[in-house]
Amino acid sequence: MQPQSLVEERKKFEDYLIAKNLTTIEDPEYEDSDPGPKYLEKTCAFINPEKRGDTTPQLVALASLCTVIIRSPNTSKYLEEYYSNFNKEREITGDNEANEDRFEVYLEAKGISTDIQTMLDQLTQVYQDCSEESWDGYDALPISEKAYFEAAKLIMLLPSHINKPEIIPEPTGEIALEWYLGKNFIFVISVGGNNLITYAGLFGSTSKTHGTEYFGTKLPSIIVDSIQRLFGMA
Amino acid sequence: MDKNISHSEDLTRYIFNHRYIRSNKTVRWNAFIPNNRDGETSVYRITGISDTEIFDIGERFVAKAIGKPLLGRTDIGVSKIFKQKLKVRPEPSPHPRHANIYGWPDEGSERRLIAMKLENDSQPHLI
Repeated sequence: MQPQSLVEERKKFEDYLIAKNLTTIEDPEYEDSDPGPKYLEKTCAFINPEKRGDTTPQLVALASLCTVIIRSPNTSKYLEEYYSNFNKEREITGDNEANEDRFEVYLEAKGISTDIQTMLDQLTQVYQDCSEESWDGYDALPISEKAYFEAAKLIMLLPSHINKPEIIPEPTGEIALEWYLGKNFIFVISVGGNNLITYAGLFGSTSKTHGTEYFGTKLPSIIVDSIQRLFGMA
Repeated sequence: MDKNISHSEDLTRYIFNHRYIRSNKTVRWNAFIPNNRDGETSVYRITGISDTEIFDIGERFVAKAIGKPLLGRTDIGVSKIFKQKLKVRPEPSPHPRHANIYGWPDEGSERRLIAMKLENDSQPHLI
C-alpha cells in the first residue's frame, strides 16, 4: 500500500506541531523527557484524517506507523531525527494489517513569520554547535535539550514588533537572546529549561537592570518593557 | 611572576569559540562568565610582554592543550576587575602568567551584568 498523503486534503490540525509542543512542554508528565509519540498523539489532533468513517480514530497514533515530516529547515531536523530513530525498528513487512495504517503526515510551519523561523534555525544551529561539554574550551556546560526547547518557546512568544535578537550560547548551558546596540546599550535574556528567565541590561553608562522572572506561557512584561526601553534610547 | 597582582596590570582572556565574537568584531560579555567547575574565569597576565608573546602563550599553553584553534583574545585592566568587586589571584599552571578572576556573585543575572561591564572595559584582539 502506498503511503497516503494528508497534505492536500489534510483537515485542520490544532496547531503547528512545534508550537504545540513548546507551549505545553511544561506538562508535568513530560517534564523530564522528550515530548514523545504519546505526547504527539495527545496534542496532534486530526479529525478523521482520511475520511475513513467510523473506523478512523480521532487521534492519529503517531507511535505506530506514521512517518512524520516536519517541513521547516534546520529546526525540524532535530525532531525528524527523533521520530526517525523512534520508528526505525518498526518495519512493515508484507501486506499485513499494519500497512493499512501507514500514511505520511506533513506538518508545515504555518503562521510562523520569516523572522521567527530564522531565529529558530539559528537556535538549532547554536544547540547543535554547543551540545558537547567544553564547547568554548573552558569547561562550558553543553546546551541542554530543555534549554533549547525553552529558548524556542521564548522566541515564539516574542512580540512581532520587537527587533530580532542574536541567539547565543552561555557557558552555563543556557541560551541567551541578546539585543546589542553598542557599548553600554545591551539587553540580554537567558533560559536554561527551568521555567525561569534571567535578564540583565545596560541602558547607558548609569542605568542598569537585572533579575529573574518566572517563565510560564507568557513573556514577563518587564522583558518587553526593557527591550522597548533599549530601543527607545537608540 | 609577582605573587601579588597589581591593579595596574593587564590581563587577557583567550577566545576559542566564534560565538563569543560578534560580527562587528567585538568580544561578547559571555566570554567572561566564570565556568561552572570552579566559578572562576581563567585569564593570563600580559603586562610587560609583546603582542606576539601573548598570542604565543595562547597558542602553546592553551589552544594546544584544549585542541581548539585560538580565535583571538580580549584584554582588560586589573583595575577594571577590581572596580566590579571581583578579585584576581595567580594560578601559575599551566603557565606562570596564568591567573583566575574570582569572587563572582551567586546570582546569574548579576554575573551577566558584571560581564557586560567587563566587556565594555576590554579591548579585543582577534586573529
